[in-house]
Order: sequence, then structure tokens, then C-alpha cells
Amino acid sequence: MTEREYNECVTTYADNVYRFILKNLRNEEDARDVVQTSFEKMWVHRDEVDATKSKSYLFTVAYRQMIDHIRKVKRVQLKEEFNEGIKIQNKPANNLKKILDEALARLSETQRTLVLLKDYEGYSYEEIGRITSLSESQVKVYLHRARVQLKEYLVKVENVI
Amino acid sequence: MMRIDRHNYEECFILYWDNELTASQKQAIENFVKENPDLQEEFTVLGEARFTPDSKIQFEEKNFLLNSSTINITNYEERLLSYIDDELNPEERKEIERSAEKNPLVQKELSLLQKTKLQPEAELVFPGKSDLYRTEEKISVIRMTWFRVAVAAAIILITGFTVLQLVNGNKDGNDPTVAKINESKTEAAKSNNSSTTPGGQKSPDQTPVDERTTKVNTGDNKKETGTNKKNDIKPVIENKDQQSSVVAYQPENKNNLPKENKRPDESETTNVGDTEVAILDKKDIDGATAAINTVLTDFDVTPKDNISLYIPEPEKERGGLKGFLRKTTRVFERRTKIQTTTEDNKLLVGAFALSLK
Repeated sequence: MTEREYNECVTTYADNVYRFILKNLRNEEDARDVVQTSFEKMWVHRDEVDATKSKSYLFTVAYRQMIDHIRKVKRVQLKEEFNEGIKIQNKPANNLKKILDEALARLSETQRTLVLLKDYEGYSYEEIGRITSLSESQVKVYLHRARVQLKEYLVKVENVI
Repeated sequence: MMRIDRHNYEECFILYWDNELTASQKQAIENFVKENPDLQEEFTVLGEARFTPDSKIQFEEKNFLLNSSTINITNYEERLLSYIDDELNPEERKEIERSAEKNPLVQKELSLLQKTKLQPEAELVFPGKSDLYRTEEKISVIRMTWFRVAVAAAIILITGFTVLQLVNGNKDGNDPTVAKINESKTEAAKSNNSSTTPGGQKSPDQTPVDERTTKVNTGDNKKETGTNKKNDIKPVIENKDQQSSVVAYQPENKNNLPKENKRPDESETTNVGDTEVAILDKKDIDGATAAINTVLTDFDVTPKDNISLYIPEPEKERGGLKGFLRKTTRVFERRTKIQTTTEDNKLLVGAFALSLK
């Protein structure tokens, strides 16, 4: 991967990675750190990175960085989720996107990651498996379970309305 | 069965039409209707008030219930999930779509699942993207390393050559050095006197304290940089041959060397005088300043700052003198170091490089 390819990768994928991480971590500063570190790693290892696979390399590195980060601040995460649960109960759901975001927040980290990789980036089960070090069938099962959970949350909220 | 009469015929008619009677009972009912024509209408109306199944009504999603079909009640959710995850081939996709059209259950489930699909938010943009752009430093680094290697090689060559030359010079003059030093020590007083007596340009040059020598050095050095570097260096070597001792313990030999060329004996004495007697004679110092001026004019030495800078060095040389007596090579090293460090490093290095080449 050349310098130009690296910079193109920044232009093309920085926002995507950032969205992916931000949606998972729900903290802009942390997300920024993770993205920066990921790009640094890619720069350092640019000689080993195939330019055609730069995106999945980037997402793989970012995902690992994110997992490391989550492990570091696990307690904070749990607290945030708890608050979110209270909010959901009190708040009338006004639009689908908001409800979906809430539903997404209630998924496990792995499920959330899989859903985001699938919906945001359109990765196949196989590619997601490579990024997250899961088998294709695991990805499929987790992702389907997550999707059903999302659906049930939507149904529940709609019924409440 | 009870006996049919005009009081209970209705119940019997219903039982008849509900097909709850035996054939003989049915026959009895039919005979009763014939016997009572006024009840005939009621009998037929009850018969018409029955429902028959509508064969037109069919269960459309019959296939959906069959496990044999590709999408059915047991697998439809999984298939739909794969559909919205875009993991099906075109043919399978079409099948799902057809099934959704036909089956409201599938349709409803599909639309619900499609709602769970997240859309990336374009407004979310990484804020520090400009920090991520990089430029390769590799090329410049390589250049630097090559440059450094070249410089290092040049330095090594220079030092190597100088050491070799010095060693050769020492071979010729090592023994003489000790002798000359002794002589110089004995002649120190003489040198002082001689330096004052001779007058003229040479006497002040020789007599002056370290300052002169230093200034002369500066003059020489600047000459080196300015005019001919080779010439300056060559005389040094020759001088070394002639007076290795002087060269050895005084890092600033060059100054003396030109002088020595003029008068080797005097130069020896001056060297010793510089180290030992220099500070003692104030007259010499006065004469030295005058001589310095003359020397400066001769050698185009400009700044007086140099003088102040070089004064401490000779004091070090005194220590160097002892060191020289112990190990000549060490002194050579110091000498080379001084050449590189006392003045601007780059200039000296360049000068040597040129001279060697």
C-alpha cells in the first residue's frame, strides 16, 4: 500500500470507520481515538497491507481497538446502558430511527458490531466473520438473533403506542 | 324416537335435516309431511337453511405450510433475515419476493424486518481527518542515512590518514620529541630571552604567550578555509617530522608550524615557552599583543573574540603535555579532536577531506 493509497483510504473510509466505532462506543472522543490509532497502525504496516483489502484491514484493526477499549471501560459502558433503559421507558417513540437506535443500544456488543457491519458497510457474513474472528455460521446466527431482537423491540414499541 | 305429531314436528324436522335420524325414522317424517301438506313449506325451508361449503374458498398459503417448499412456516424467518442481509442469490430473492406477495404473513414479517435495517448517517463525519493524512518520509530518511554514512566514512578516512601520517611522523621523531622537550624545558628561559631580544616580527611571534599561538592558529585556520587548505596541512606534517614533540602536545600546531618553517629552533623554544613560561612574562604578553596584531594583519585574522576563546586551550595543553609523554597516540587523538571541535566542525572536516583527496 503506497502513501497515495493510504491517503485515499483515509478519504474514503475514515468516516465509515468513525461511524461504525461511534455507534458502538457512543462516545465521540473515544471513537476518534480508536479511529486514529487504527489509521496509525495501518500506516505503520502499510507495506504489508494489500491496497484492495485496505477497508477490511482497517475495520479489523478498528474493531480490535474498539474491543480493547471496551474492555478497559467496561463499567462505564454498563452504567450507560442502564440509564438508557430508563430513558426508553419514559420516552414516547416518535420516529423509527430513534427507536432503532435505542434498540441497537440494547444489543450486546457483538450483536451491535455485526448489525453495523452488515447494515452500514454491507459486508457479507464471510467478511464480517473475518473482521470479527467469528465463523460464518456464528455470524449468521448472532446476526439473525440480533435482528429478531430489533424486530421485537420495534413491535413492542409500536404496540405501546 | 318419539312419535311425531303436530306438536313436536319442528324438532323432528330439524333432526331430519341435521341427518341425525335413521332411515326408518326419516321415512316416517316424510310420510308425516305428505299427510300434512300445510307443513310441507316449513319442512323445505328448514332444509334450505343449511350451509354448504364454498369450494371456491381455498387456502392460498397452503404451500407455506408444507415443509417441502423452499420457504415455509418453519424456515421463513431465517430466509427473510438472509434476504434482508442480502445473503441470498437472485433466484432465492425472487422466491422470497413472490412469497411475500402471496402471503400476508410473510409480507408483514418482511416489512418489519426491513425496518430494523440501519442506515449509515451521512452527517456523522470523522472530525480529525486531516490529521490522518500522511506523507512518506522514507525517501528523505534514506538520503539522510546515505549522507550520514558518507560523512562518517569521510571522517573515518580523514582520521585514519591523519593518524597514519602522524604515526609515521612519530616514528621519525618520537625519540627526538623527548629529547627536544627536555631541551625545550632547559631552553625555556633562553627562549624567553631570545624571544624578547631578537625583535622584529619573528621574536614577538615566538615570545608571545599562548594567545599568539592561538591567534596564529586562527589565522592559519582561516587561511585554510579561505585560501589553500592543502598548503596549511602539508606544512603541519612537515613540521611534525621536524618537531614531532611540538606537534604532539600542542593541538594548535599549525600556528607554530609556519613559524617553525621560518625558524625551527625558535619555534621549539616558543612552544615550551608557551606552555610553561607564557603566563609569567607580562612583557612577553605585551609583545605578544603587538605581535598578534601583526600576525593578524599578516594572516587576515579579524575577530578578537577568537583570542578570548583560545586562551583557555593552551592551559589544557599543559595537561596534554603530560598526556603526550605517556601516550603519543592519545595525544594524536586529542589533536584530531581539537581540530574538529575547537573550531567549526564542518569547516575543519571539509578542509581535511579536501587535503586528503
